[in-house]
Amino acid sequence: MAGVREQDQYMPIANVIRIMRRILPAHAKISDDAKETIQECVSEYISFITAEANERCQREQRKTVTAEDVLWAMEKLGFDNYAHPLSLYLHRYRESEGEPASVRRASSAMGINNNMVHPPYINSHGFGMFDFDPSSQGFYRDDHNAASGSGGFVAPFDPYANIKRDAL
Amino acid sequence: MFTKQMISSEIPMLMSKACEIFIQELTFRAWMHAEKNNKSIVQPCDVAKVIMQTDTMNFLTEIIPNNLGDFSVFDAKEENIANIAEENEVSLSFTAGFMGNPMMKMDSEENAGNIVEGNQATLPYTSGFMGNPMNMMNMDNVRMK
Repeated sequence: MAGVREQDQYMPIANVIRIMRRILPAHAKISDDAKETIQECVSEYISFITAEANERCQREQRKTVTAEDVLWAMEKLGFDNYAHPLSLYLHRYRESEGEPASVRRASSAMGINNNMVHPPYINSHGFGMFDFDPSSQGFYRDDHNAASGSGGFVAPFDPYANIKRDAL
Repeated sequence: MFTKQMISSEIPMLMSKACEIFIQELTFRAWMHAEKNNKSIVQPCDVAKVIMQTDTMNFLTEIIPNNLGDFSVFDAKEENIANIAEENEVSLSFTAGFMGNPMMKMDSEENAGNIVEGNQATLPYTSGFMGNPMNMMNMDNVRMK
């Protein structure tokens, strides 16, 4: 494609890896090939969703693709379990955007926006993975990670894994 | 004439969060697949299996052929694994990737031990889930998806 630089073809892999590690227990490892595979997949995901959003925008003869177009595309392409929490996210983003910039920066610095971004009931969606009550599961991350993590989803952790391995 | 499209300023923020969720879903499912095979390292074949097993990920099937080379590499190295552990030749197929790396080899030995133990269990899942009903519940959830 003309004008597309090679380094823009994929999402930056360091960021992808950081997001991957956030969902995995500490003893989990990721092969370099798997990192690249996920990098390719998320890059394809962006093209997949935005192409559909753009198509609807053009069909309706509008020149600006909106967030609603993106959310509509997700629902149409089978990611409806993404569209709902993301619409909540977008709603809260717009609310915070209405504040003066200085207040928004102050709120962000104090972590208030992080709290707004992750209201408790979002956990019930499980973001399409698992519907479960986090309070009944073991947590494997400290509060800091929880505050900065996406959607508050917590990976299940096997507390007996180390014991089994040590016993072998 | 191609019309120049513009995007709302909210889309980078929205797609950024969507990508974060997508990466974590794909990674976590791949990890569940790896753990199911008593591995502690996620491989491309784990990701490929997730893509093939999850309907919403079907748009990624054209990316999988890039990983077929990884499968053939596993097939080639599987011979070495067979020489070491003939009785568990099939079970160890996914651990072939550990060969040649001392640290990974150690992991492989651990996995081999887990597999041996798992073979003695009556449970449908490998030893990693023994005594932990929460993980079994999660596996059920995976299948229900």
